[in-house]
Amino acid sequence: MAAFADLHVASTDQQVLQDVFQTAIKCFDWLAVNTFLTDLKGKGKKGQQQNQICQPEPVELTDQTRQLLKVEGRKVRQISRLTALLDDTTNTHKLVSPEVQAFDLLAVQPTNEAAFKLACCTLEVDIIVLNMTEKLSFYIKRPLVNLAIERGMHFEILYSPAVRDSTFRQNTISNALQLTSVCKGKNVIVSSGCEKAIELRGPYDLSNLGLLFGLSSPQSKNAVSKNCRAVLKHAEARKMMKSVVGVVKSSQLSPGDQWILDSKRPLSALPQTTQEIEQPPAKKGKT
Amino acid sequence: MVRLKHRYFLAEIIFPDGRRLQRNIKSNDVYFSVREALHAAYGDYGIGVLKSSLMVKYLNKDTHMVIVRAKRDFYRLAQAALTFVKKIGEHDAFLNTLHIGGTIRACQKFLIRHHRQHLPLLYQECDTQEERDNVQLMLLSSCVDMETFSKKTEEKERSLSEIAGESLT
Repeated sequence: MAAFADLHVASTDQQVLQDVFQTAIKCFDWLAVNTFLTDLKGKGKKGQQQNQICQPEPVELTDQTRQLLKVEGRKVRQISRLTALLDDTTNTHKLVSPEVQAFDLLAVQPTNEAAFKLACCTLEVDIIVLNMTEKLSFYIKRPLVNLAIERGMHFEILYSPAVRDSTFRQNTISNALQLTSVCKGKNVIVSSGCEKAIELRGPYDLSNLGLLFGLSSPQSKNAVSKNCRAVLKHAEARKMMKSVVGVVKSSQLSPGDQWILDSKRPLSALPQTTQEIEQPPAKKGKT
Repeated sequence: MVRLKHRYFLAEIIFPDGRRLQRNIKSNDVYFSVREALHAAYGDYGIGVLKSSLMVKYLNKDTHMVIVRAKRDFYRLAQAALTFVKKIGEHDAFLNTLHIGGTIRACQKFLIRHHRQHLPLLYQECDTQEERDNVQLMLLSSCVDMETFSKKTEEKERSLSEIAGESLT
């Protein structure tokens, strides 16, 4: 199977995150650290404090972690992610603000039917999370889900609450079954939502857990690998807006991509080429 | 089509200490005892899978008949859970599944047939003449229903054949 990703690490404490990373690097190639936003409102009335969206900070890997990575010869990419709780359908302009767009992945957690409809039809987000730990207050409708799938959005099932508590487990299974029966198992990702390192599980176990959630065997494998990649691609595409070409400064190219510069012709050769083009092509004489 | 398909179990509650006693059982009691049995046998997965669909649709306190609903994909789990029920409310009881149908109507049809077949047995169990008279009346009325039912079907068939005959000529 391809590379695995865990796209929802819920903890925000640096110490805990370091532990999580140390545990997760053995199996996962991409890890997304989540910031949860409970309120999408702008400036509050009567001078209330605005919800400050902290800038995503990379997690400092410990020396031990770095050592492990060196030994295995692997790289782990950190991705920043923002999950916004969507209650009110009128206050969504903040999602387009530059502070929010600074995050790599955008996710939305709708709490009612109107919010879910908005998320599926209009909002530019990558992932739709549903709170699986309690009974869903609305029915997931097929046309909305199909529209979301067409737009490239994915639905997320969190498994850490199921590991934590028995009631959460029952509700997660119940809600996940409802979701997968509506979306036919397409565009589903399974991620942890872990608050401690102990709540993580390996990707092969997760693909088995997907069978409990109503996914078929290949769908369940995709949920941990292929669909996560699709989410990341969707996020990249969203950042680039509607473009076909992306421009990157040569000074900002990663060392792995430097070969692109080396293989091109040197700049001094360019004017000659333009001269060649300007001269009209010599006509062939009649033979 | 987005049609949720269910299976309906028609079960008889059998109390080991005889049938005649007046018992106060509620559909809630039955529901919770089935859920407990499901949890004991299949754990959190069993409950998670049948959480939304498990429901007691019909309960008759006097005839001890109950209809339980479960989703079609997982009805075997529910059926197994039914066999593990040991207690309903405060009474020791177990469930004997009589019929599994796709609709409540199918279960009801079976129930009517079942009762009709077992009425003569009731007659044998009667102690007093009054009870015997009551049961005889019930038997007769059910037979009358059967007669009218069979008469109606005969009439229908006759009229249908007439119409068929007319269309041919």
